Amino acid sequence: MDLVYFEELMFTIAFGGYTLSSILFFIFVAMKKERVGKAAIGLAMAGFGIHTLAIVLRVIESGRLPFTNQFEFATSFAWGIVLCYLVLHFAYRFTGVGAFVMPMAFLVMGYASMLPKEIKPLMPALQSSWLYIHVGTAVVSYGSFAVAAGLAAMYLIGERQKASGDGRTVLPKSEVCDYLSYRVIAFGYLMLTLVIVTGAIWAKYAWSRYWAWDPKETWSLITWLIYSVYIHLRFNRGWKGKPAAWFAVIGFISVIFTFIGVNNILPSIHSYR
Amino acid sequence: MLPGDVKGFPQYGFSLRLDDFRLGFRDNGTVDQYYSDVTVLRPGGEEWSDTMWVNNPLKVDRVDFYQTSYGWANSLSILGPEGEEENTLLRNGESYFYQPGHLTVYLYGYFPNMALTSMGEPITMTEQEINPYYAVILYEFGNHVASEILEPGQEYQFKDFTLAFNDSQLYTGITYRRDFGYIFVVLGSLLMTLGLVFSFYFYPKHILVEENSVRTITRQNTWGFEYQVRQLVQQSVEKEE
Repeated sequence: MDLVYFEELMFTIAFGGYTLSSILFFIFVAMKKERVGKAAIGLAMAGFGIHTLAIVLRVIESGRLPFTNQFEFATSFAWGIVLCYLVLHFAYRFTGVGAFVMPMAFLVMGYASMLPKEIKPLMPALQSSWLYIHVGTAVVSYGSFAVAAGLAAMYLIGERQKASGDGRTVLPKSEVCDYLSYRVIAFGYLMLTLVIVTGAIWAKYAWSRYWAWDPKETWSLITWLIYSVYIHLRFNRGWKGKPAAWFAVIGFISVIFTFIGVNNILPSIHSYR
Repeated sequence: MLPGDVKGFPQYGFSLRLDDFRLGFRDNGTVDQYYSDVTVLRPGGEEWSDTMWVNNPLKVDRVDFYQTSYGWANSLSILGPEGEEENTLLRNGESYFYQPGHLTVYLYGYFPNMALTSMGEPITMTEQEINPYYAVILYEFGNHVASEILEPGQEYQFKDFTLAFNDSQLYTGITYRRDFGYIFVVLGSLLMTLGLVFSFYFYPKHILVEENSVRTITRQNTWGFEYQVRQLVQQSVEKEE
């Protein structure tokens, strides 16, 4: 048995951990039992630890960070989502957030599990140190946007519950979800800016131009513009609440399209399969 | 450019000679890297050599040179009935019109390591010259007359004419740019990133302490700041108790 076997085993166990954790989070939100919430967090942490191990094994096998094809980015993306969620959890201890974030990690892991996992050598254009900062910041950025979208969804559900007069909930207050979503988006936006900037400078070295309106570049810019509008309105117009929450969800849909849709529907020089 | 070609840049005061263009291969035959060995020639006789590869453009004075494409240049020779010979270089997908025979030679492709798909389409497995073949289509007066797969050097007779592809050489497409904006792009990017960091994380925050009340004042992240201060106050109260 070689490292590939153990990597796949660790990946599957982590996927299982995230799946169970998502289910437990739903039960926690529905039944409001503290013990179930703690178990869900524990499973998310265990899954994250095992997922990290799977990634480390892949790094050992390939001799580089796992950033070079759709599977590698998807598994890193899921890892980034759980990392951002755990950071948020340990900072604020809102257990209910997991019910909205862990299913996203589960879905991205599910997508990754359907992709070819073989390790391919780096193509010439990717043989650069810029790869690590460009894709590394994308992983953190996309992970943050996923968490922000989860928080925005929580806000929208919280508001609906408030309207229906159901007072008993384990979800944080709507105001908290709104603010946390904004803070996480601000961080993700900073990272996305770095993704675009480092990508442009790298493209100058690799392809002789900063920008080529390639579908991936264009959709990254669209995503960046959506979040720019969100942040601008929040800064200067005091925008918050429902419209901001919807904007966070739309922004994340754009993130998903930039990652999955562009790779599969609009092939380009960024479609590394 | 083909190996040996020299391109002058009188406006910049130097010339560039391509000494060699080569592919680096992995064990499985896929391309690992593209290399161009070049020499920069100056009018005074001064010269220096360097190697370019993807992600490593060549910088001469303020001009950047990049490899942006590559392919095979294939030498075609056509021999007429009187022994007259015409030679030309064809790239994949190019054609040559041979006037004496009203013949158009269309090079469908050069396949350095040819294989056939299940549909009978020629493809190359790798760029290594292991099993080289040329796929050629002939037209006479614009009408299709033959489609052939030829080995290097193999002669093909059509009426009184003999044609052959004798040799193939790798060429590289080189793009050059004089970019004065690079430093501005880098500085602008840095400025924008710093601006975001400062506006998101280093904004003015005030704590107003009055008798029996602690209030927070900030334009950004009002809830988060209040939460942090509340936690601090709670911790200090717990300590005192």
